[in-house]
Amino acid sequence: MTPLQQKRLVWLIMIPVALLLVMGGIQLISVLYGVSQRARVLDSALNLIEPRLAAPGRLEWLEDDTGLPRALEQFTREKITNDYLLANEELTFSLLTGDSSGLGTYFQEGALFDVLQSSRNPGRHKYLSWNHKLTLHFYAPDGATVGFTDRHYYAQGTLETNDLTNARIGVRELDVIATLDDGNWRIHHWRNVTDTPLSYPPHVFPELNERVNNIRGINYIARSAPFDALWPNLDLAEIDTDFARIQTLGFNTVRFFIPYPAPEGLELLPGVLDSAQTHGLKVIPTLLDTYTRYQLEDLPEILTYLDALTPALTHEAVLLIDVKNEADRDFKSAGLNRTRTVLGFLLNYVRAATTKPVTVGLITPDPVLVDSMDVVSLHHYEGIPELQNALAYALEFAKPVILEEFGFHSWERKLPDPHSDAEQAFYYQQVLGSTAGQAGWLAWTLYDLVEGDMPGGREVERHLGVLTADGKDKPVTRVLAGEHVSAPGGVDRVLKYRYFALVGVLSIAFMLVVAYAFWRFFLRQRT
Amino acid sequence: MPGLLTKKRWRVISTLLLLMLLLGGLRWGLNQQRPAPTNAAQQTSAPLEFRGVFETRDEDVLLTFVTADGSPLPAELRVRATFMTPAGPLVRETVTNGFQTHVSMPFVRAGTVPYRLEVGSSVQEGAFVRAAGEPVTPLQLNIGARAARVTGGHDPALVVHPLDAQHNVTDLPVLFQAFYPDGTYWERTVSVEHLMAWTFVPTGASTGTLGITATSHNARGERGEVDLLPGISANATYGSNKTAVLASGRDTWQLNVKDTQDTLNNIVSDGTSAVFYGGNDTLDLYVTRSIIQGDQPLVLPSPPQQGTYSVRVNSGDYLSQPLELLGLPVVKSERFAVQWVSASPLSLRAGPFFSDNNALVDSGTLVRLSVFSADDALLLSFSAPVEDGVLITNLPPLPASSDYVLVDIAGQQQQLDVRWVHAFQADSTDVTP
Repeated sequence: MTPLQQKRLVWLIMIPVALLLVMGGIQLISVLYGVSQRARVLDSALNLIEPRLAAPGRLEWLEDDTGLPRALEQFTREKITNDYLLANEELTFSLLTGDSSGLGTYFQEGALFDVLQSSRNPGRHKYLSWNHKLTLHFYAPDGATVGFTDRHYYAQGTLETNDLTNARIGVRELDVIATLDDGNWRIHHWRNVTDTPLSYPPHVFPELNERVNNIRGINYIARSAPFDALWPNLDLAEIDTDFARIQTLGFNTVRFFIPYPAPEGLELLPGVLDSAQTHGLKVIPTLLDTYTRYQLEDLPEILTYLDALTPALTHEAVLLIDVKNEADRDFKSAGLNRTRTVLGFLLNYVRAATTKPVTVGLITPDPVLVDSMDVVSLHHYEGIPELQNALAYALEFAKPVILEEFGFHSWERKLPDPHSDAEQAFYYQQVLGSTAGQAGWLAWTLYDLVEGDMPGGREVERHLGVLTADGKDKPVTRVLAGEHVSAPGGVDRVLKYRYFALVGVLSIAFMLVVAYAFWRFFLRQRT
Repeated sequence: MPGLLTKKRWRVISTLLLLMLLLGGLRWGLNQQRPAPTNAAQQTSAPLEFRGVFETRDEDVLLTFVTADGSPLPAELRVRATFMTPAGPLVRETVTNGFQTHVSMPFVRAGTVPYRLEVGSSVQEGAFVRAAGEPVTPLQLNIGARAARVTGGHDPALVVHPLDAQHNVTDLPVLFQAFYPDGTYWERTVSVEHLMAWTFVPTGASTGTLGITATSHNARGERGEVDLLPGISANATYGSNKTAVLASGRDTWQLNVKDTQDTLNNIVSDGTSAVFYGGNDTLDLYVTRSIIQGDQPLVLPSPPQQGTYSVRVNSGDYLSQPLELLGLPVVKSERFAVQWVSASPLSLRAGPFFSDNNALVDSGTLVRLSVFSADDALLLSFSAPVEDGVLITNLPPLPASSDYVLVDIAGQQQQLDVRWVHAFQADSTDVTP
């Protein structure tokens, strides 16, 4: 055997050995990945349950039937409450994870058969129930059997490819027989009496189209505390002064944001609405700001947030409620179906609770969500032809349309797209002309901003006001006052680059000086 | 090919080979851990007209998916059926195969069931109602409580959840029958509401064992029983064999509560308590006894003090009239002799004492001796027992201020002057003052 043949033989032996080692390593990686996946699922399940434990209004006992063979003691009622909620949480856990090992602790007989079948579903499923209202029909004299009817809300859906499909939010009336076994109240029998999608009656808003078309509004960001800083630092005197200025500028509507969860200072919301009313302004509050999850398990807490806001939202000054700002930005991260499901439900919920028309601020109207809206809203910061196309599309839905956000920065030092005040004024004139008779509008925003942090650190947000940071009028206010402005001329278009021209000239001069210095230095070295 | 496969090339080739294997294996491993894609089947772009045919079977609901005209669905479409059940979404999936597409839904629960059927991108929603089957043997009859008083107040409750073969509570009514110890009979047909049929059963008027059965359609259960107990005490006879005895501490009254009955004249349960209580200003009495067969005698020793004692008995709602018991004096009410026996030691003799029946009083009966001054201040007091009807006892040296000794036996009293003692003590040289 030649040396080369010997080497080949060694290779032939080494390759299978190496392959075995590699496959072993891959298997190990796979196992580790599986462990991490299971941990992630478990973590999701725990996160799903934990907010429900803290959620208020989870279970309430209504008045017991009369003529019971035995009155239900308070201690027993609390024990049943606890075990019944735990049973529902165990069911939620098993549907998400497929782990049915804990179900026997809370379910028996027919109910156990049912939950075991559901836990064998293909894939993973979200399920939660809340707002349980129980009516006791029977409590056995031996203290070991209860019969009650549970009316509750529930939400469910299937997790698929980072989205939620097969979703349903419903209200169910369920007869339940629970028995005290080994110290635990277990559900033995149950029956769906009614089960319908959670829906709310339609509401007709007379002359809504005309009211929306007449909107000449402004998005309000406070100078002293912009964006997230508003509510914790809210100054009603500043708000009142700004609303007076807004009225003076000819606006009739103001839009502002209410973050989720409810921020500190939100108790001043009625005062803000009163101030708007005083200055003849209508209001479009935008709810759930900064919320981007759209998870079913958040619904109980979101509904509590909305219920707390409802008294204020019924204020006469409130013209329209924007349930969520630019939800289409979340379609990719949260999932299209998930976002549609949650927002569709919330739109109907808010309308029913407040009897106010509702919308969701979108960059492009979503045909599914529009079904649940009373007003189609769109946001636009692009060119005029694109705006006209967007408006035409929005009008196809045969609902009132509002251009809820539009704006044009006037930052002359923005590279590579500096704008002048004149361009801003002309842009406004074009937008107002495009929407005339077709849609209401709200400009972004009142002031240029000096203080505070900007969303995403975008400095251009500081230069979108119709007023300067110190409150002086920009040329755009003439447009708002109904004056006509001309398109910026060639000189304007050139002059807006003057800062960059100056910087460019200085830079070139500096480089020339440096080059000359080097050239002189090399010449001296050579001589 | 020695020139082609140089050592360097072999290294490169083998390294590339290993790298490819590594990557391929890693991908295979990851795919093993990930859930299988659920929408892998081909989706249709155009809505498909289809319907689901529901066939309710004992162990499941068989769904058959067909097009609107009854023909099979196109092949390779994902089919998903979702039932909205109390146990959350019940989901099953399959893929159409060009023939009839079936999905077995393991759902056997009675009640309203909303459903959502998906074939490709087409969706059909609705709800169907599954009815419970006929009840099956055995029925589980729950009775609470297992014992009840015939006088009423807390009638036992009967409850049945009549189940079909799939553990659904059926909707057919339940017949409850009760068989009383006096041979009478009761029945009631109860409809099932909120997953149960329940009713109270009347207890009747006679004590014993109440047999109860429950039937529904052809289903039967075991007989249940309730112990029918008498009510609480309402009537009784209360008395004593005699009302007057000597207050000797050993003579007794025999009190008796008899024929203790409830309002329906049933003898009360054994173990029912009877409380005898009373007394007089100087003595309290409180005795609890258990009534057996309606009776409870109480042997009550007389106190050692004569007087009248008022004693009542209480059991349940029964409260007797007071029974006046007389404790007679143990000594006949006539004067008895008292005299000094000696001065040194100072000794006194009293008696003999006779009882009412002219016998000597019991030995051991205590006689109280009290020494008073002239202004009736008590200076000294002690007791001494009678022996053979007579008291002979020594006294300690008497104080100079003592005037008389009062001898008291069961309330009979005699005084004895102590001047003789003082005179004797003054004359005697043997006696130290």
